[in-house]
Amino acid sequence: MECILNTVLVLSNLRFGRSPGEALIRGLNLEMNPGDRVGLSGHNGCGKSTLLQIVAGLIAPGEGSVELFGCACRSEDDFRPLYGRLGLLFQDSDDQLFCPTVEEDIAFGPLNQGCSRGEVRARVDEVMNTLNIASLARRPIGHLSGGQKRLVALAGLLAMRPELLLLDEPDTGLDPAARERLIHVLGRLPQAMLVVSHDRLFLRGIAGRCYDMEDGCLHPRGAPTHAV
Amino acid sequence: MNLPQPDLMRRFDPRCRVAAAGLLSLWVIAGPSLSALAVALLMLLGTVSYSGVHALRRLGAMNVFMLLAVCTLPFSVSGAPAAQFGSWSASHEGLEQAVRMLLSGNVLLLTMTAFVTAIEPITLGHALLHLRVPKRLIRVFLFALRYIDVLDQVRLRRFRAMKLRGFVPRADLHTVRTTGYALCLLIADAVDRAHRISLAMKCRGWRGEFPVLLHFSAGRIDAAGILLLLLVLGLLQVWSAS
Repeated sequence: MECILNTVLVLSNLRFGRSPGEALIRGLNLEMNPGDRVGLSGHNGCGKSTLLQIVAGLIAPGEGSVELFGCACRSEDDFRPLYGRLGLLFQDSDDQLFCPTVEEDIAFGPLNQGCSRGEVRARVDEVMNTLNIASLARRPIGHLSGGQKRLVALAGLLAMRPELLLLDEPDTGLDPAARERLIHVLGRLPQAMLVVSHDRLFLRGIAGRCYDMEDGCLHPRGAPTHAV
Repeated sequence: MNLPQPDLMRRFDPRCRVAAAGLLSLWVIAGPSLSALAVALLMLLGTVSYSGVHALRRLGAMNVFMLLAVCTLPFSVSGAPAAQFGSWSASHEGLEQAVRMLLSGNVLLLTMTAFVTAIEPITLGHALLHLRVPKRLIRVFLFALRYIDVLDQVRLRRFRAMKLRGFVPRADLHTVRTTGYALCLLIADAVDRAHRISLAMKCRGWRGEFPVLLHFSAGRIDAAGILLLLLVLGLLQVWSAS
């Protein structure tokens, strides 16, 4: 792996299509530094979630390069050691919460990272306190509301101490109170974030830079207009 | 899932309770004498009533089901005649088999009620994992616990949507076809979800092992419990053999 320091994410000339004739992403570029918060919006099916999955190494791009934390990632082997450093929040929290209880689900990542039992316990408690969900610790996942599930899914990512969060429509299905709480929680987190949402107000609440995804490229919103 | 646990059983490590249930079940399968089975049944009834578990309804339901077998066995198994009802004759062997079936069934049900049913399903999964039950089976068990409800919600939403669009199940081809579509979609949903779950697991560092956060600790009381059970079973077996 080639490593260049000081950037969290660099996407260069990224191209992707689900079928040979289709170009969902056409020469997309994006650079993020530590602590950057980038918001993405766009119409249904424009490739926002696909972009996040490419960044997370779940889908291979057709062309272009993905650099995470200064390391050029070309194959699954390049992405695997970085999974603790990036966290992907899925659209449907039920996909992400597969352990029977809340604290076990939060502990899943740190246990996979090989942390000691004491370290895992400390991380689980710390994250639950940060997100104010300590009272849910022993609750079966099936007994949680939509908003609670979203926070527990986020807690599961944060327990791995990631440096980059990829959030795929984190506000979908949340009532206004849960949405406000999520904006408050995300606003206090120090990590770099790439957030996808249809709600521009939500994105404005958390992201420093916002882009519209159109024709497979990113167009800055509320800033000098040039496609990146 | 949050069943109130009886005080007596809560004192024991879940692994010991599962192991105790396994031991008792094996003893029942080994075919002890009817009198030994009857004594075991009485002792289990005592344990269950002391533990405060409400087992009567379960026992009643099972015994109603067994009544049919118990009534027909003496007449369907050939052997020395024990009683004659018109042209039907009940055999000794059939009667013995019927009584054994009744006693064994009740002993097994009470064993599960006393030792296992009060364990929360999630804890049971972990206890089985510690007892070296194959990890893949435990994974299936834990995933079933987590996702059966999710899939059931999908099913409910789909069937409610069908109902709101005027679907009424009838004995016709349209109902068969529609139900088939709904079931196929449910399976497709489950497969899609399984794919997404595997991606989510991969993103969180899954390496093929299901890590366990909560561990159990067995103490003297557990050892004493298992020893007591072995002693009782040994005595019953000696009595049974003599």
